[in-house]
Amino acid sequence: MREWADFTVEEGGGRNCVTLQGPLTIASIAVVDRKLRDYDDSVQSVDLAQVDSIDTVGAWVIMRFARDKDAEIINASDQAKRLIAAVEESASTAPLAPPRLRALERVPAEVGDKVVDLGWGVTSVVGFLGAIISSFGTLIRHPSRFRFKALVRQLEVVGVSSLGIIGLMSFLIGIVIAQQGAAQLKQFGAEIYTINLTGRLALRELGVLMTAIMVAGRSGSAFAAQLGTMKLTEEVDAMRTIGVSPMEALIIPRVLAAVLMMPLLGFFSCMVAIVGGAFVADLTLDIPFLTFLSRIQEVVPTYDLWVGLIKAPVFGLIVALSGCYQGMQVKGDAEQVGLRTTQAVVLGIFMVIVLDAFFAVFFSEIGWA
Amino acid sequence: MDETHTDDTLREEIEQQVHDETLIEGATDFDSDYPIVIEGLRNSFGSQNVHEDLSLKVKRGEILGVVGGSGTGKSVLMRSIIGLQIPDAGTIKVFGRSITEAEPDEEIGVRSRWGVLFQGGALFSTLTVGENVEVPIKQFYPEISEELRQEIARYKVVLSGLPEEAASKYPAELSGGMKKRAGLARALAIDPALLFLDEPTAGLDPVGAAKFDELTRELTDTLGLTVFLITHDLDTLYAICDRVAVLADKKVIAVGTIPELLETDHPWIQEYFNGPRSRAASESHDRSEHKLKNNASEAGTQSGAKREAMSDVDTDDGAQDLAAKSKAIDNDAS
Ligand SMILES: Nc1ncnc2c1ncn2[C@@H]1O[C@H](COP(=O)(O)OP(=O)(O)OP(=O)(O)O)[C@@H](O)[C@H]1O
Ligand SMILES: [Mg+2]
Repeated sequence: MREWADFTVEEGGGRNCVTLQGPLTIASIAVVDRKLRDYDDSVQSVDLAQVDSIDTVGAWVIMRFARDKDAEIINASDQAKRLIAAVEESASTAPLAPPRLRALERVPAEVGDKVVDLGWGVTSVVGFLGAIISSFGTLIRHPSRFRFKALVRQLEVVGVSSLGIIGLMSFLIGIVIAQQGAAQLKQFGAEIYTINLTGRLALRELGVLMTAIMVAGRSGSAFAAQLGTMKLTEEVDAMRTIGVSPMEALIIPRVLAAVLMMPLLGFFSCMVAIVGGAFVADLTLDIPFLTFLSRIQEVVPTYDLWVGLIKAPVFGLIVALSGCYQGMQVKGDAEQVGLRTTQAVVLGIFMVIVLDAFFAVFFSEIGWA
Repeated sequence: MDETHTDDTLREEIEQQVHDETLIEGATDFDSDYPIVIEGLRNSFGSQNVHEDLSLKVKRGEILGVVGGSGTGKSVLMRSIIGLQIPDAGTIKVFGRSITEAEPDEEIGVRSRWGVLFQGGALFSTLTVGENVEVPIKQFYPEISEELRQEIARYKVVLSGLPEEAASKYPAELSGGMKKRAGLARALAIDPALLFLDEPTAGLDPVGAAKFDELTRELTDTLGLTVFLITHDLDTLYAICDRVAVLADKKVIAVGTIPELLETDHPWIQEYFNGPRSRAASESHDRSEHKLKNNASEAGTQSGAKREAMSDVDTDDGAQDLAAKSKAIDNDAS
């Protein structure tokens, strides 16, 4: 059981004397603090004779009470006097949080900020892309400065180590396309077109699109979080002072890795999806596995492959750009890292899908339908 | 009668909010003579042994300075004592409560009695300085009213030497030295009985560092704090430490007052306390002590002579004063 501090009031000739009892420490102050706050009679003196221990919190409560009531503190021990003097000197009324506008003003202000930020965001992303291109140009003129090791490392992280998950995902997607397609086509007795459907859909759209989404989730987020943390710990600033350009050391290898790896991963994904489709066809449609694969060659035009392979590096660029840009925008606190990482992924995937729609229209316009 | 009734309900209401864990008294002994007892501690990272059979006792009410070269394991020792680093072997007791046997986040009833200032500040970056100070109060004493909690946060911020406007700033908006002070304000938030300071004066200006020392000493004297103070600051050692523990060769090789340490002939200790920086610090300490006593006789002495006076500790006023301060503290801690 905790021992609480308390007080009694003695009245004598119009003078009220508040006598405190018990330990006046942070652990025992809560009750007496509230009672003193609710006490509204006048007080002339505060007696500390019966206080057995005191810390700065106790000293503060007494000091504040005596100050507000304009009362005199009596019978304070030497220790209590020193503590009261110390907290009195430190008294402050400053707010603990930065001032906040009222909701009525805050909402329009924030809407305005968002709009302005959006404008700035677009210009600064374009600026970032420009900086990447120009430092890429510098690297071409000074190839010795190129960070080959960093690139290899990123190629491994972005590409090789994601083969497993992308393979599994693509295989399942292939199964789903073939199975669902077959179920619909069966109604016209056209099950054989499952091969066209699986092959073309995988090569043109789903293979690369799903890979881009997976890379955004795996690598785009990692870029943002790594770079953001490095910004917070001033690693990026340290690099600059040593004369190492963060652009060359951090961003180019990441962007390049994503651009180079996306076509390879996309192609891999298409192939595995087709194998998945062939697997289902073999089991449920009586189309032998190898027949499915050889029919793919006949029914899928080569330009379908090109459609996928042309889109892939662009998607890779978008995902890496979004990750690196958001990471480099981090400043201030740890919350920003999380926020920027989320934005990197969300914006990356969103931009990929928007671009994919543009590509779809574009390719059908040029006759690669 | 009515009056007392409302009093009782108020008290009951408050008691319901009280954190039961902070009341764990069990095996804890807050009045023990040795708030920290370490025996046979071994810490290692992979194949690197940082501590080997390290023992140390910290006395109640003292400021124990912990010195040692960079990388000798001072911060790791502090992390072990507060239960953040699980040692390979040995026992650590804080207020009689075993830290080594407790689970990392187990409520052991002593956390509400200590405050920690980390080497890097370790402020919560999404909270303002004032809100940082409020966190431990809210955690350990939820029954304290919001008004009082905010008042406490405010005066702790100022007490730690920050300007009052700093209370509403975020850690990212502070300078390095201000972060240190904000860290101290948070460490002092709940008026702990035991204070761990990891290089509190590193990165502070000399005037600020001296004020910091003064504050630590004042708090120790008025609140009976026990302070575990890691430092490279020789001025701090001479000015406020009752005893100094020297970490070298993976152990605490010596504990004692500075004059006592000077009598040992370990080469590192000799080098440390007889180096030019140490002599300068001890001289300036002597000077201020003498000034305090209005002792003018020293004033004209040459620095060489002073140096001698320092190594010849028994005749030196300042050293005697230090020795007197720690007379009660015997030398059984190693
Ligand atoms: N998390 C860790 N992993 C591996 N080794 C570590 C870790 N933390 C500390 N060490 C090692 O333990 C040793 C002691 O480190 P510690 O931080 O305690 O040094 P210190 O005495 O506090 O030094 P300084 O005075 O520079 O702060 C160092 O050699 C360090 O390399
Ligand atoms: Mg350290």
